[in-house]
Parts: sequence; C-alpha cells; structure tokens
Amino acid sequence: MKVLIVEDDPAIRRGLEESIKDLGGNPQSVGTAKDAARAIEEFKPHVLIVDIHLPDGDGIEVFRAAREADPDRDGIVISGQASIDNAIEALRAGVSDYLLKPLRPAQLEVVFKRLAERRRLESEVEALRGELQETGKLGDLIGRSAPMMKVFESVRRVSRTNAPVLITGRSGTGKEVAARTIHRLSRRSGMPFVAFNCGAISPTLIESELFGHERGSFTGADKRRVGYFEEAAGGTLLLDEITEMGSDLQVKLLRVLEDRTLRRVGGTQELRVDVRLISATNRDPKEAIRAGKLREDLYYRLNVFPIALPTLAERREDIPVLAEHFRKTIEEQEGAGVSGWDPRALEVLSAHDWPGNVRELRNVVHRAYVMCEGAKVGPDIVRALLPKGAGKRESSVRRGGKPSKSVPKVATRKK
Amino acid sequence: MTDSPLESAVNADSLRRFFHDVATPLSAVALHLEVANRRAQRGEDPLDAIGTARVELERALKLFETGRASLIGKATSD
Repeated sequence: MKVLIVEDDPAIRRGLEESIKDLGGNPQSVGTAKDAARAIEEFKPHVLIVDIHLPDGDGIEVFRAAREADPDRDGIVISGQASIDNAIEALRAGVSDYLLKPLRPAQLEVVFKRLAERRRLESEVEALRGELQETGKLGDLIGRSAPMMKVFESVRRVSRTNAPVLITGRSGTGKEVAARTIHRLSRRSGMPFVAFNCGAISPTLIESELFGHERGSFTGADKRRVGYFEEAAGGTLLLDEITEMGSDLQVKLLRVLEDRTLRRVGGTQELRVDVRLISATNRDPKEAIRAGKLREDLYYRLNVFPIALPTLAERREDIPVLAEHFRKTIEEQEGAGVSGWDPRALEVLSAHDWPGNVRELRNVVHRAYVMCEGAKVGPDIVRALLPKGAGKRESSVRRGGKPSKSVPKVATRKK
Repeated sequence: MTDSPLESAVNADSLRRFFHDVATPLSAVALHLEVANRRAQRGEDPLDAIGTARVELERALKLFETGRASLIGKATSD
C-alpha cells in the first residue's frame, strides 16, 4: 500500500515514514502542498497522511484534490488542534481518520492496520468479482452468453449501492439467485438475506408476515411477531411476485420505503428499518400497472435499478455450462461417479426450448444423473427425459456421430 | 478582573498555539521512540532513532519554556 505523508515537520515526517514501513506500507513523504500535488501524480499513493496545516496550503484541500483524481484514495488527517469544524470538514472530504498531535504510535498503528485491512478486503472482493465474471460465474449466477454478461455487469454495479432493484424474468430464470448474488456481493453480505414470496401467502396474512404484529392485534395473534422487514434488518429483503400483493398493502409498502419506518399490525410505535429492498416479478411490470396489479407510484420507487433476466432459450450457449455446473453439484452431493457428458447429450439439451428455464434444466440434469448407469450421461437418457416434440430445434440435432460445431463445449474453468 | 471577549479570544489563541508548538516535537519523540523500540526488537541498532527522539524532546522543552514565558508575560502585563 503506497502512502504519501504530507507534513512540514521533518522529524515527524521521518518518524511517520519509518512507522509506516514497519507496518508494511510503502511510504514517501513531502513537506508542502505543492510537492504533494506533484507526488500524487507521480507516486500515485493509495493513502495520504496529511497535516491539516501546511506552510503553503490546507491539508484537507490536498486530500480533496487527491481524491478527485482517484475516488478510491483514503486519507488520514493529522491536526495539532482539536477543532470540530476541521474534523467535520475532513470527514466531508472523505478522510477515514483524524489524528490529533501529539501522535500516539499505537493509535496510528490501529488506524493504519484497519485501513489496510479494509482496502485488502475491498480489493479481494473486486478481484473476486472480476474473476468470477471471467470464469462465467458471479455468485450463483452462471453463464458466458452476451445477455448474461449484461446481467453480471448490472449485478456487479448495483451490489455496490443500496439502490432498490426490480428483477424481472420468466419463472425459473433465477430471480432469487440474482437477488442473493446482489446481497452476497454487497456490503450487507454479513447481515441477513430474507426472501418472501408474496404469491405464496394468503393476501390477508401478508401484512402481518411483512411488518409483524403485536400480541392480540387480531384473532390468533397470541404473541408478538417480528415481520420479515425486521428480520432482514441491516441486510436485504427480496419481495418476490410483488404484483401479487394487494393494492392496500402496496400503499403501506410505499410508505415504508419512503419513510424508512414501519408499524407492526396492531402497534402504535414507528420502528426504523434499515433494509435493502429487491423486488421481483415474472410479469411485465408495465402490463401489471395497466391491469391494476401494481401501483404506478410503487413501481417507480422499486424500479430504481431494473435487471431483466433472459430466458434460457435466449442464452442457449449457456446450457452446456449450466448442465455441467449442475452435474458437478449433484456429483458432490451424491458421489455416484457420473463424471461428465457425452457431447451429443449436451447437443440435445442445447436444442430444447426450456419453457421452465434454468429450474427445468436443473431438474432434468438431476434426473439424467439418477438414470445414468455409466460414467457419462448419454443422449438417449436426455431425450427420454424431455417432453416429446417440445424442442423446436430438435430436428437440427444429429442423432449420432460427432457433435456439430454449433453447440458450444463445456469450457474448462480457469483456476 | 475578568477578560474582555477579545482578550479571552487572544488568550485562547495563544494557548492553542502553545499547545500546537509543543505537540509537534512531542509527536516526533513518540514516533521515534516507537521506531527505536521496533528496531531493538528486530535486533537492529536503535541509537539513531533514540538520538532523534532526544533532539526532539529538547526542542519540545525549549518551545515549552518559550511558550510558558510568553504566556506568563502576557498574564503579568494584563
């Protein structure tokens, strides 16, 4: 980690340089704001340790300029005078810590190590994101096709923020998987991920399930219950099949999103909630609005960042990769020794239209795995498992011999 | 007799400057002593760092005395 020390006192400068070296950093030091500007350009530091009062300028301004050039830069400000105004200004400029003179080496060590650890984790997450995307895997999302690359990019971008996300896609395209991936890649990953299917619960119960209820608030409410919003505190809440939620409840949900507070059913107290909301639907949201299934005002609140998942037929080239992924997962669980695919079996899978999307593919792979008696899943097993005449492209698939070049092979994953 | 607001501000400012002047070499003392300590732990020669700490400590004391004299001078002239 490259650290630029900007301090006019030469003895402190030398002491800081030595200390940062001892702590594993790569320091360079200058004594003026002017020299700092040059060093920022040439040395390209990751972190600046700046004295607030420099002979030719203001240390916070030096940091601000450095951060404008690279927003990922961190800063530690040193001041000889405790001033609330300076501390506020420093924090506004984005510095991580504010140290007062006389400096205490132990405090510097704690601050530096914390910063180094945070930066290490961030770069690890970033590297992981890039690596996963390169190997056709982002979280539990799998694919190499152009439509999935777009989805990966959207998921990667939105996971860094707290923006509400609306995921659309046909049944079985992986909406919950996408939501989980956003959560896993986000800063909320250490907190709960709660998925709630609005279509799976009676409309009369949804409100109490989501917001919780107080004891005695309705017949059968014999004790207080915390709702899904509160369960997901600090984390992410997925509301699947959002259009199945009644209009009255949609109004309440809108209020929660706007005020960031909720009231349990039968309760009087407003409770603050810190939840990242992801909603999903297999309907076209615009059509759902026209049909009166989704309130327009709620739609705009939920649809800050839309992600549309493609059907499996729209990303046919991902089928072999997905099939292999599911086979490996099943092999890890079952260990029956089914080690791969006959290429012709993958051709058959790739030619099918998959109205049930990835979910249907996963089920067929599992059944093929169970049926398989050899080391590799052959085309006959796969054909027997697919509905007759369901795959429009079946006729184009050769029934024997070598696989055609049009079907992508299962790629080898890089380590 | 109590100070006027202007006099209070001047005194507060002098005190802040005094503290800042002394805190700077004291920071250097603390940092160089820590450097010396780490060097000794690694089996390296800590004398250079101890020497710097001593010079800075003398500077701190000098600034302390100067600052104190100046503050006392201000107080007695008031």
